[in-house]
Amino acid sequence: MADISRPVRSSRRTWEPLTVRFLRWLWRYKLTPAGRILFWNVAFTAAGAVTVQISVYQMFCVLTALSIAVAATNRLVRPRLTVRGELPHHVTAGDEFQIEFELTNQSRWPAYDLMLWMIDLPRSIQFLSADVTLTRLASGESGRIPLRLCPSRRGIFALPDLLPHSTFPFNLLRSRKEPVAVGPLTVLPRFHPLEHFDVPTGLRYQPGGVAPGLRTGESPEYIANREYVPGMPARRLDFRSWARLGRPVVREYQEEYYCRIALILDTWQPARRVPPDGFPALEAAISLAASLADWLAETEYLIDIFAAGPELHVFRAGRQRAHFDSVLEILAGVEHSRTDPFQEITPAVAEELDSITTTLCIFLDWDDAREQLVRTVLDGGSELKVFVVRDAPTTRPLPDDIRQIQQLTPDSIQNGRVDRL
Amino acid sequence: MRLPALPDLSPQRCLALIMVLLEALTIAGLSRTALMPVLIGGLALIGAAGPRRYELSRQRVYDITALTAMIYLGRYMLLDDNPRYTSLFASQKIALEIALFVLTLQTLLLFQKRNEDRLPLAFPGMGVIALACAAIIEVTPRERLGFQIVAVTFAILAALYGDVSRRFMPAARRHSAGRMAAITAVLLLTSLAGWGAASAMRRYEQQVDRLMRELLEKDYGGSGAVGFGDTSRLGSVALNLARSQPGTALRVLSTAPPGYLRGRVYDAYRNRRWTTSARGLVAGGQPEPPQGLEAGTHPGLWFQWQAKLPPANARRMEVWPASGLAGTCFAPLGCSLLHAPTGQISVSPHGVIRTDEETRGEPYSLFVSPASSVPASPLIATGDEFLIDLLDVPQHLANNVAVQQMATDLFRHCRSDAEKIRAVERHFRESYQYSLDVSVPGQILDPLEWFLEARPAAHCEYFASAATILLRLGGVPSRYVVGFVVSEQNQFSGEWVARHRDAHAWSEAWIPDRGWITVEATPDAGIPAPKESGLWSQFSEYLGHQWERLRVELRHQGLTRLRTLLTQVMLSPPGIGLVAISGLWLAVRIVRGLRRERAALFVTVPPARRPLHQALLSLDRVLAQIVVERASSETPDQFATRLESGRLAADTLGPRSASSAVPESPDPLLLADAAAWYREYARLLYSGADSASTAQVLLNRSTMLQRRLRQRRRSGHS
Repeated sequence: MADISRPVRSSRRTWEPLTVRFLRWLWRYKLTPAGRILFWNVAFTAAGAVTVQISVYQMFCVLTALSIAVAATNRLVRPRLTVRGELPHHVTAGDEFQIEFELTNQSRWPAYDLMLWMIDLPRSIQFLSADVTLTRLASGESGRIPLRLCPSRRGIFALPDLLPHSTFPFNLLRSRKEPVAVGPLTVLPRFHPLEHFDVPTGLRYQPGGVAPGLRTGESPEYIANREYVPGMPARRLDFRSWARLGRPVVREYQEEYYCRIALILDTWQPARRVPPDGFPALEAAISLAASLADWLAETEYLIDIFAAGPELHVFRAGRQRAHFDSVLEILAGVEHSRTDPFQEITPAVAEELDSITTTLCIFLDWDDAREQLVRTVLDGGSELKVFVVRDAPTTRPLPDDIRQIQQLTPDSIQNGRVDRL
Repeated sequence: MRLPALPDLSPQRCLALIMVLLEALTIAGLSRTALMPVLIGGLALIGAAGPRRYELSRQRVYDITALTAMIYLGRYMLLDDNPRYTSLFASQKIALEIALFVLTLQTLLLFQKRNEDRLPLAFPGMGVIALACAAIIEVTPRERLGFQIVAVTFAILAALYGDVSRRFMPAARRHSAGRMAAITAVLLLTSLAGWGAASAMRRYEQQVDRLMRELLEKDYGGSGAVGFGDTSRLGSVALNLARSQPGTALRVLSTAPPGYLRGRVYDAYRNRRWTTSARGLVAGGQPEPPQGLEAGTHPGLWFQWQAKLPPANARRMEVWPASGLAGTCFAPLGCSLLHAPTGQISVSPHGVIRTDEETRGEPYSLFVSPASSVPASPLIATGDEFLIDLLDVPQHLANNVAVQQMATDLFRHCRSDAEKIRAVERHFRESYQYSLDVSVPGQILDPLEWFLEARPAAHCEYFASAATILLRLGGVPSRYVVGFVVSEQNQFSGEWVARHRDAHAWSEAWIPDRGWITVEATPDAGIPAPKESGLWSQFSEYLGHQWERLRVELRHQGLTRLRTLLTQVMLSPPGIGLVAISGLWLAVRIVRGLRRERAALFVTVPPARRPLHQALLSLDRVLAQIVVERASSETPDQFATRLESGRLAADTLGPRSASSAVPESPDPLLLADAAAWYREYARLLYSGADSASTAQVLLNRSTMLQRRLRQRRRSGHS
């Protein structure tokens, strides 16, 4: 699984002229949004200051003096801070979250106008508390300042360092920053829980049956007592009940047979450039996969195989809900595949079909490769359900002889209109 | 009737309102029209403190902005111009409308309902634009003082606006004494420094102007174009010299030292600068060279502006100018034929050739008559009566007693124009010192007059100007020339090189029977002379020049030149060696690529699994050499099943396995071990139970298996 977060670019570009590097540093690191406007104003008035014949030079002089005075003060009162705080392990796309960081002033002087900032934050994460300011922190004093983020799409993001700094005075320049590493953030995909999902199950023999459950601490479930019928195993006789009722009674158990599911997600998108909010069809397909996984986790099904693009994950560790979390974490990091993954994944899936009851496929298109996979699944004796997430007509028309195919639009999935499947 | 409640006036809105009112007041004061500013100011009051604010979509904001812009454009087009905004330059009159437009936009922002009732950070920035546009007029001293106060006040308001335009933590103590004191100190410092800087800028206007000019000319790229404009101050050329740039300005292919190459010629000294009013003769070119001349070595047309063809012994010079010198053809005296890549040229009466600036960095060829040939007319395409203009001396210099006395003393014993020229040259070269650092006292109106009176050390522009003026006072028609002195030769290419530091100014005087004479009045220290440069720097320049030449040739001849060049390179011994090495390298890359393609059965291999994947590929390879090949579509489990079953023929594997090798002599035990390895591999790969120890065991087993298989093959062969 690939990490889809954008790597932090190196700030050192030694081949650039010093002036360009200085301006880059000034623009990206030093100037606040208000400072950038002041910068433009100085540049604008500088154009009019080529002559003292007109009064624009006076404006230029005053603005330049303001810039210099602010820069000098900002440097003089730069604080020494320590920061404590921790990001949540994972959040859901579209959900705002807030973490309170504790700032401690380590210098001998009070610190003013303290803020938190993250440079080069991934485009899909919005920084909602960029201008929240802690006005004053005396020497040795600690204060809390919130960091509010809102990820707009799923992913595993290597967040840039957190930069506590001071914008004193006038919120024009940022003081020297001591970066604090905050680690990665896993943003799980957003999904709408299904109200009903009809999982096709056959009469196929379930290898394992209760055995895996036993291994994970479960056992056949006692249901009720019933009258003994000749021919029933004698070891099921309930002697206490027989004594109480005066007639032979046996205990009845429910044998647990789990349906084993293979969930196959298509990630093929030939485009090289990923749109800012991801590919709509792929994101919808991922959301649908999460909805299905959620439904399966809530009911008596086990996802045995999960194929996301060219990656195959095999789960055979019981039927805990942790299973579902694993699927979500995998979905968080799923990247689009520029090569069609089915040529690679079909043989591997075919190998595992012996133990699979039902195969759920979420495709982004319908073509020969996908049809071959579907026919392989059907030939392998597994039940099948296929969802094609696509706005436009498929490359090849959906076949008439395979009835388990359903086409959905990305929009309907993302807007929660798909609640029964 | 119940009035709606007034919304709270936040500090940010309060500051914004004060800024708008200040701007309106300033615009009214400077433009001396009160109606619009007062109207807008009133609206701003209502917008900031009034009861109603409007929620507007982005599209609606665009629409309103566009409508406002159209209103002000209409005003600009229909109403009479404000007289205060027409005196400086043509486009000045729109500045007032821009100022009012920006002020209106700010006012509209006050009416807009925004998120958390916060105005945009750019609000003061808009104010700066409005004030700057309003201030593009010539102001009275009182207005200047008033605008200074406005500028300082506005900067303070803008700074405070930036301060309050953020969200403060509610529980924090916002107003600490230390913070307020520091902010007050910074604002005080800003006011004093801004005021002082503006006053100093005003007071030292000339010095600042010079500094700015130098900076701007420096930023222009140091191209050497400085001093070759339509006018020339005393100091324009010296800027090049002061920077002492070693960069190449001109490269000249010539059989003899090119000497003085003229860039511009000026005939009138007015307002402390040299100018020329002579209009150029526009000449069209011909594609074919004049009879008797060979075709040029570069593309272009042939331009001839004098009826008389250059004599057969005319000297040809090919000039490669730096890109910054586009527009001027640097040519020596006596040039009458040009071959240049341009559509048309203009030739001034003084023989200065101008071309399109599009011919940036393009070479041109000149044909120069021998020095002994006398032109038929002193001025090109102009009557001789205009020679009288070359005797014109500015009134203040002609009336200067010291200058008159100097001219009289110099020419007292001279009987001819040639003697006068020699006297002037001797006077300056023997009695004056050369220096680039000329500091003209602040109260001096004309530096040339001061130079002639005070005789300070100066640079070539002073000497050339003074010589021209003195010769005119002596009745010798003369003109002021700037250009380059080319005397340095590159040992590798044989080209003559003029560097930017070789820029020079001199004078030319007309003697009827000898033509134009170059008058060099600058002392020897100031005449550009060849400087020693190391062999390596000459070689690197040579390479650079060759590259430039190739670039131009490719631009003109395109693929033809490229093909010729490639053929030449390929057929040379180094080229053959290079081709051989490249071919070998390519072959190795192709073979490796093919191997990699074969190995890329499962293309997505996580880094941690790569060693194991490599082991799989190695085992595949060894098995393919000895027993059977695993088909590309065959999974390890399928292959293991095939190995166990002993069905090694390929026909069961589908279409892609058609090329599988035919088994030689399968050893069942060995095949069973191999099958077990493949099964173990598949289990590790697909089960998700990634264990480093299991992987290591598999790696070891793979090595053992391969060794056994190779032994088996050797024994089979023997």
